[in-house]
Amino acid sequence: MDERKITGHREFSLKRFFFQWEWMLVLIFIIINIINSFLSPYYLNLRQLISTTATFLDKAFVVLPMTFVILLGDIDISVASTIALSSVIMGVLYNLGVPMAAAALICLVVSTLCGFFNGYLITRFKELSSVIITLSTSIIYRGIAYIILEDQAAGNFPSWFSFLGWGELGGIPLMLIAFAVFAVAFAILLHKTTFGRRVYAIGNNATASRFSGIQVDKIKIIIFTMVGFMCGVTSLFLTSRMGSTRPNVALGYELDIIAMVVLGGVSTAGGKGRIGGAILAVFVIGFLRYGLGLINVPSQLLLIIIGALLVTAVLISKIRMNVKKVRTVPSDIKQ
Amino acid sequence: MAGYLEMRNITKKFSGNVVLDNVNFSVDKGQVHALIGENGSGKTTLMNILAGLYTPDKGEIFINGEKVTIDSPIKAQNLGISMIHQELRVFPDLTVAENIFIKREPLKKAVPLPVIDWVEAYRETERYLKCFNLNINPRVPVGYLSYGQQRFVEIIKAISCKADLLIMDETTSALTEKEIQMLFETIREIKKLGVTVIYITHRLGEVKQIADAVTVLRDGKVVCSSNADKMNMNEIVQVMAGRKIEDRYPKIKVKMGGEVLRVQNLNYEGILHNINLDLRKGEILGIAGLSGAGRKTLAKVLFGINTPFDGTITINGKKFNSITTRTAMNNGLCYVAGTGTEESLIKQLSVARNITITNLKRVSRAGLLMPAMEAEFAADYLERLEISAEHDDIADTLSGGKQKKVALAKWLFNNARILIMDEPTAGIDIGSKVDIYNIINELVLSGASVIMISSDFAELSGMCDRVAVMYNGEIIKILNKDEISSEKILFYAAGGSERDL
Repeated sequence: MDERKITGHREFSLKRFFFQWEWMLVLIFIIINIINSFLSPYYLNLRQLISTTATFLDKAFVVLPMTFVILLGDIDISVASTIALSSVIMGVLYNLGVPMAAAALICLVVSTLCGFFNGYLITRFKELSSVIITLSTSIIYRGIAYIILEDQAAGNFPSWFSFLGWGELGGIPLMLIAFAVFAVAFAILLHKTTFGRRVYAIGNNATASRFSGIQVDKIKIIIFTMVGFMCGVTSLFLTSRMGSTRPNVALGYELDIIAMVVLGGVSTAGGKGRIGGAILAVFVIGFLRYGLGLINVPSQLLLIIIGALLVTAVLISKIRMNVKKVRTVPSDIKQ
Repeated sequence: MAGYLEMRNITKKFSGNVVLDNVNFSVDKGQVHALIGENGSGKTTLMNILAGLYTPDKGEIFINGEKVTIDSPIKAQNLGISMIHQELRVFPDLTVAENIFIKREPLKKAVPLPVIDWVEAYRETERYLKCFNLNINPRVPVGYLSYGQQRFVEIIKAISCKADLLIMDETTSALTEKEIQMLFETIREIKKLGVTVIYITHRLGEVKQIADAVTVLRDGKVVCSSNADKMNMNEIVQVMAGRKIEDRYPKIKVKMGGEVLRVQNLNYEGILHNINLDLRKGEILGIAGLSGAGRKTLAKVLFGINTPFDGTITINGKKFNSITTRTAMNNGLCYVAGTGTEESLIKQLSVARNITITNLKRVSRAGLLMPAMEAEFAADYLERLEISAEHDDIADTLSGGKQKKVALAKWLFNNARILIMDEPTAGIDIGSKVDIYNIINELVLSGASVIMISSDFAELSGMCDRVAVMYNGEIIKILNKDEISSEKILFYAAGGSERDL
């Protein structure tokens, strides 16, 4: 057993580095771009490609904290409703005469509270899974949005507000810049800080984490609150791009967001995966959508392709796990 | 005389450790044969081989003189061997009858399709329940029954498989005295049916009551086997413990300091009653008891996992009426959970990450982790505890003994001064055990204090300065150094009181 360490230890981890799912995603990303450029002569235009990102980056803000949630082994399916509720409240308040900046701030506060409420319920009622709790709050949040606005729309936002979603700085969309900033911040939080380390610990074994003095509940509440806050950010960008808001805004976003995280190689069982994968997956799905849109592929077909990609991702990670299992000999069997 | 069952020269190794060494074991038909020995002596492994869960590395098994190979549980079942395991294996949401007839439900004969005849299943179940004088409704989900009743459901399930040989592994642990007597009644009933019973236990008192023959295992070897009436208790205890105590337990004398922990009138959720306890600097206090006595619950209350409690806990002079894991840790108290549980190591993570998890501040600056520092610290602790592993090895790949040391290292990393250790040496070989004892010695020499929870009474007698014996959530006796012995601990752990002496 000790020989293994001396001979093949470093080499083994180097190999593992190249076997990472992220490389697979990079490959898929490149393939998509090559196919796209063959399919449409208009595709390979760097300026165009960069500004395209603004069409799909709105939900990407939530992908970042959702990675944390799924790493914990939990899930949050109330994100789309949180986006809708905070957006609707912002729109209504602005139409009632509240200054736009204040309304935007309230939008962030509302979504953050929604996230905190999810976290509170999940840690308070441990016998219920996060699926059930966030499914319930999802219906509640969306329901409140409908009560507030019924089937009306709210909008007529000031022009500076639309700059948020449409504006560019030096040819780069504001949204892409904002996403880059958030992505770096979340990546550091997850992979470089003690907080991130604790997230992985909990995701791998919540009991042992608790017995090691990690305040599991506190960390869970913080993460769900973060999801809420980022829903507010998405809400701002999305509302800005649309110019108005309705209670049915962001419908189905939760599935897209979760799909991106899972495609990014984050295990729904918790504890495995990196945020880089999730970020890559955002662009893989985004460009896939854009490319297929260019050649007028119906959006239903697009759904099927994304679904197939997702199944492949899950299957491949499962196959890789099985291979690993065969390789490692069971270490110690208790008497 | 050739027995009904004979196991010849059985040898079994787990990752290099010899667990069973040329074991010869034979049982006569219709006997109740007690298999006794300390923890880790190989009793359960031997029976798991018989039940087809493990295959032996060497050796042969004969039933009624015929050689058989048992390579799967189904094969064992077909040979009429049925095993009731130490831990309950029932389906709590299924009814009693559904549990008993699982996977072999009676089918309706009138219908050509496989339709389950529940009327028949319930009738049959009722018949069994009546046969053993059990007042249980066969239509109740098993989860609603008491622990003891669930045990009986398992026994009926085993018997109803038309078993010829029934293996019971520590079946009486966590049963009440009344239930134990009922169980013995049941065993006598099934003996009448001609069923052979192998009865694994560590309660010597039961051997006298129920067994016809006794086999004692020690360190994977049979040390003695004879009829029950020919052996006396003292003899059994002596052969069980075996070699001289001093060699196995390198106990050193440490000058004790002042009181570091005091527990007063502690009650918890009806599980712990009126616990009073104190611990001095440099002391090793043992906590003995059978499973279900509340030892682990006590540890978890002290460590702030099980809350809230009534009473007071005083750590280093500071009084607490409630405690969280954080406050316990900040006051130097820790719970070194058993590595066999989910509570100990995060098996998928590296050794270094497991060690530093208790105090990430030590390996970070302004919240940012310093990987080089972490590796250095981890390597340092691995060296100090003589663990031959790399800091980036995944914890799961280490042997049991090394995992136990890593579990200790992780708390030493947080400067633990009061260590509550849960079964610090369970399931590891003698060599690793001595290593752990030496680490404990070094700890108390440096002024730490240890509370050692163990089911290994010989270990408690060998290593502890005092032993508190728990029974049914109470500390019923605290034995001082000069009165500690395996027999005394066993006596009190089984619920004995001064009056019975």
